Amino acid sequence: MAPRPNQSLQTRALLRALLDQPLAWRHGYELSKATKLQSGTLYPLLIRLSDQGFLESKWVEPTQPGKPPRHVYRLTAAGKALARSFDSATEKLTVATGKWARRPG
Amino acid sequence: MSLRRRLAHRLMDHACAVMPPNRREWAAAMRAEFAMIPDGPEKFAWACGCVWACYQERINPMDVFLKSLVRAAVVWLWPFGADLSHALSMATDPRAHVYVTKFLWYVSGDLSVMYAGIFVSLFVCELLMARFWASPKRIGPKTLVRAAAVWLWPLGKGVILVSNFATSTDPRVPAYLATFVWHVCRDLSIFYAAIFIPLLICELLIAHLWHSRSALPA
Repeated sequence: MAPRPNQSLQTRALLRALLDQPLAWRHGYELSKATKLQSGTLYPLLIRLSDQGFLESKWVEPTQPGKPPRHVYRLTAAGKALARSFDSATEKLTVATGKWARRPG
Repeated sequence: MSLRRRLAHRLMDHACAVMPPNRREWAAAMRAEFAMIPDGPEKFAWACGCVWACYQERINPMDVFLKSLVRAAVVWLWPFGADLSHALSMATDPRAHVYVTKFLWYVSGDLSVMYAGIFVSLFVCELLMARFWASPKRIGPKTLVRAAAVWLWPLGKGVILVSNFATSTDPRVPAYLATFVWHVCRDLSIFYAAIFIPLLICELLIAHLWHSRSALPA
């Protein structure tokens, strides 16, 4: 069976980080800090999510003089739905695990 | 400028150069973030990660690995067949069981080393071709390059033998050397052809049967 796309822990971590501030535009370095992902993992994920239409991006002028414009990202409506679906799945799993743990011996 | 900082800048330049043209915007995004990171180990790590990310966009390492594995197995069948026929010819000897045990021990060791050597050569060759020669459908010339990469192994061995022979103090060396070089060249050419033909058949099969799951534009 072919693996389902966007199921990796790294992708979920990135989607969760983006969903924490759904309206804010976030740049790569900030996302790297938030998710603890290295650039070598982060950028292929950003590229793939952007290709799949889960992420929108734009260039913004730098706040510091002499620095280049920065590329920033946020989730699209489809991206938010995907991130929320993962969150609800995680929640269901947590509830189920809790019930199992509380089962009388 | 410190060595690490200089190296980080070089790596970032390399990452941007490696990125396929349709992904240049992403390379610029990585470079912009790189410019914002303060000097230190983090900047260097960021540059290394960017090189890895750009290579992932340029080539599919798993695809290269699997194809190299198949190619190495195909080339490996040739010496394996030769050794197997030798083992079978010895099996008629009354002391065969002693010989065969020893023989299989040596053969398995040698073949494993040879297989690893073939695989590593082909893998490096594949990475270089993916980086510098991305044009698809060049089966003939690319097979020639792959066969040459594997051929370097026996060629190296032949060169060492010839140079050992040449440094000998025997007065008849010049006469022997000419014959010896001729034999080495002849054997190596046969070996080269023996690599090339199975690889070419393998290439044609790969081209027709292999569909990469996540091929990215080069």
